[in-house]
Amino acid sequence: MRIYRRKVINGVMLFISFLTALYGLFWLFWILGTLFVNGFRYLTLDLFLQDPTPPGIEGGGLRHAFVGHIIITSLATLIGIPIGVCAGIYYAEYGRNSKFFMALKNITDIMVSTPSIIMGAVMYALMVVPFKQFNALSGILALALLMVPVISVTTYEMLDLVPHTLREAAYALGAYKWQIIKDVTLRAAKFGILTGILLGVARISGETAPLLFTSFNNAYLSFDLFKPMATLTVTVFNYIMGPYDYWHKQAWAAALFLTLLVLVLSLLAKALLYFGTLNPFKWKEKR
Amino acid sequence: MKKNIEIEVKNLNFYYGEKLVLKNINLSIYRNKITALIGPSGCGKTTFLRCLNRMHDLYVGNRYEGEIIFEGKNILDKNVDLISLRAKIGMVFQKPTPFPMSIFDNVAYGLRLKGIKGSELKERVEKALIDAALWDEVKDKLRESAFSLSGGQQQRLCIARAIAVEPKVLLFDEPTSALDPISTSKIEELIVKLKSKITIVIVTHNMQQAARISDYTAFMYLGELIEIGPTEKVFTTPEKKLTEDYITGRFG
Amino acid sequence: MGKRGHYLEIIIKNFLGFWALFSGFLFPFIIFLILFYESRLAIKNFGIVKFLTTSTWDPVSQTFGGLTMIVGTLISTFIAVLIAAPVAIGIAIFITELAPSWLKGVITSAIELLAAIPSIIYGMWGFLILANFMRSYVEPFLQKIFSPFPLLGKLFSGPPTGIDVFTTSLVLSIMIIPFMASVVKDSFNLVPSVMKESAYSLGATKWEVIKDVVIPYTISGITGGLVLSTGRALGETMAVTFLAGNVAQIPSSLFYPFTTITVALANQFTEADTPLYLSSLFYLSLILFVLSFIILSFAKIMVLRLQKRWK
Repeated sequence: MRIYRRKVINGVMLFISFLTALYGLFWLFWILGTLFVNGFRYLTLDLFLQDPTPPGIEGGGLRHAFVGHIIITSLATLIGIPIGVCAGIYYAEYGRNSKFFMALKNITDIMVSTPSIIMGAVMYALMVVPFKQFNALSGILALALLMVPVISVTTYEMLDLVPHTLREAAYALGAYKWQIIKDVTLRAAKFGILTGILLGVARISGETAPLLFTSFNNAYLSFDLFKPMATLTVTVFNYIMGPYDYWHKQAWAAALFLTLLVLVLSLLAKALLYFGTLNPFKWKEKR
Repeated sequence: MKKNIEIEVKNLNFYYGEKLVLKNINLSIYRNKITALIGPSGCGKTTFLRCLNRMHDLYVGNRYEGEIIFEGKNILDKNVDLISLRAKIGMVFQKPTPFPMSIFDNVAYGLRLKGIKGSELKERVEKALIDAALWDEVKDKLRESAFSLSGGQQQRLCIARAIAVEPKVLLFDEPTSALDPISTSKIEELIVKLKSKITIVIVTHNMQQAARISDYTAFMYLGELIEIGPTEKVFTTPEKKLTEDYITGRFG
Repeated sequence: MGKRGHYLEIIIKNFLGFWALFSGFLFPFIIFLILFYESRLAIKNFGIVKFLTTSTWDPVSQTFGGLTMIVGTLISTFIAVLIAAPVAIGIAIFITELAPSWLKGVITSAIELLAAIPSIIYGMWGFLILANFMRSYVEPFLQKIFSPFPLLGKLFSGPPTGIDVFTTSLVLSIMIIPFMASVVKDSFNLVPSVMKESAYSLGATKWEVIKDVVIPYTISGITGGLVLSTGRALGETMAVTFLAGNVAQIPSSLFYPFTTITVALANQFTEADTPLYLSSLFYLSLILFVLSFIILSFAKIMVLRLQKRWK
């Protein structure tokens, strides 16, 4: 009799866990579903090719935001990647025996999850106030600083997976530490590090908060780094909060594009990791 | 069924996916005796052991054919209640597997599942620990984490945990291969003492261990049962040449 | 190579080391310094205790107190984690113990998809779609059920606009579920099969094995994931900005609009027209930074310590 009761409880609890999976899928389908339906409906070529019309007048596009987004994201990446990779290399190759640097690595880990709007506030104080106007450069730096912890942590973890024996073999041949890092370790971990970079780019592509009061927004196409610059995310924010119907439609389309961009980047990152582990060395055991 | 046979295995075939891993095994496990399974790596002895408590059912893609008769019924039947079966046929594994709980709670686990509480619980835990030759070493620290014990002690704890539910059969899967020689001999002593109450089947890749403690020995090779008989006979006058080659160390 | 190689070694090591020092120390330290420096006017005017306990936030009279924002942040985060934690564990159980292998990959990918969606998408979807649905169907329905009860009725009172604590916490919980489920799932996969088999061989049911062996074994990972998710939910901006309502009050029911620190920052940074106003916003940023840093550090220490124990 008791066994029967235990089996019933077993069945009920496992069914509940099945329900939670359904719960997650439900939200996923609803959110992505509406995004795709609304986004595709309003996705036109004009969106990419035209600049916005004056507020209230239908038509126009978001060319300025697409261009601005590309500029800001790529420049942020150019700054964030080298810093992040350098820090990650140091943690993995030089800092492992130092309690101090391992503590720093843990702090970097914490910085990964720090609120992104804080970065915006800091950049506002550092770069917007002195220049007396919103500027793209402050947004670029905010995003770059957001990337640094993410990239350094993933670089560290990927380097950590490289077996110690590989390094020892190089030492035994009489190489300098920096040569070993450059020629052996980095090469072994290159797919993993690249994956981390892609994930970092995916993350900042979707960021809005740090740009709200740094690069702000611009109704016109601009390449000036010292002036405000439009980005997709901030534009979507402003358009949704705004009163015009055509703004909402354009925002859906832009949101769809943004989501697809982030998803593609994430997929690429995963594919890269998969292809990277297809090589003859299997980095399964950690040091 | 003969009165002193605890488990009768008839024409057992076992498939792992499409691959036939155990071929037509027929043997009898005698009550209150120790039956050892020996053979080179990959011969299927552990696979066979795990058929006896249907451990393979935890994973997908496995298939049994044939019969394993226990308590008058075929335990390979689809309708068999695995929960009560496994409380009657227990298992001790190669590496000690203490649960993340106190020493007392580890031994009490199987009993609590059955609904046993209070003073009966305490008595049976104590009895199991005594029978597992661990009581004196842990009686003052029952509430401490099981991880505070040494490797050999942890394995004896796992044995205590398994015998607390008073199974009829206890299956050992290379129980001492991860232990030092002193712990190994303690556990061998323990297993021999247990057989008066429990039927024991032990898989070992250590022939000397089989020769030391078992009453019957079965030699397996490439998924087939080559020979089974009283231990002394198998080790001194084996019937098959393959057995003799293995025993004398010509391969494996 | 000789001497040159030797010098290169030193230069490279110091160069890399500088950036390590930057990302792990200078970076957070400079953030703290700047936030602190910019808050000094507000700190001078309002002090610490008074700012934390005053709920008045009035740009006209230039009185600023952070209580409404802090309470809003804490309430929405708490409710979100309350909903997300059991769901995330349930999903992890489903993936690791129940799903057939083809379904495992599908659900895992679905979870990763949810995690990849930018927060502004959650915000705009919540604002344009979910809020309406909440206002038209869910919230009136909940109100009808719970209004006869004394305490629960109060919890569900107020005009159901859809822009309130309830919707915000719900969307926030959906956002943290993927991360938590991922962490718990990875922890579950670390449990050695022999450990589980030992429990099965005593005659335990699958749920008993999960409850008594798997979860206790992975409790450090689960707790770490929980605290980490809390830290992330604290700092979430875009979704909350769309759905909270930006009303500087302490909500007395789930259906009241409210505000959080991130909402205040997102909406008012560009509106601040006096140095004191701006400084108060920086003061809020400082509080948010310190709060999230403390919680995330707590998570890290806990995970590290428990990892050492179970080794």
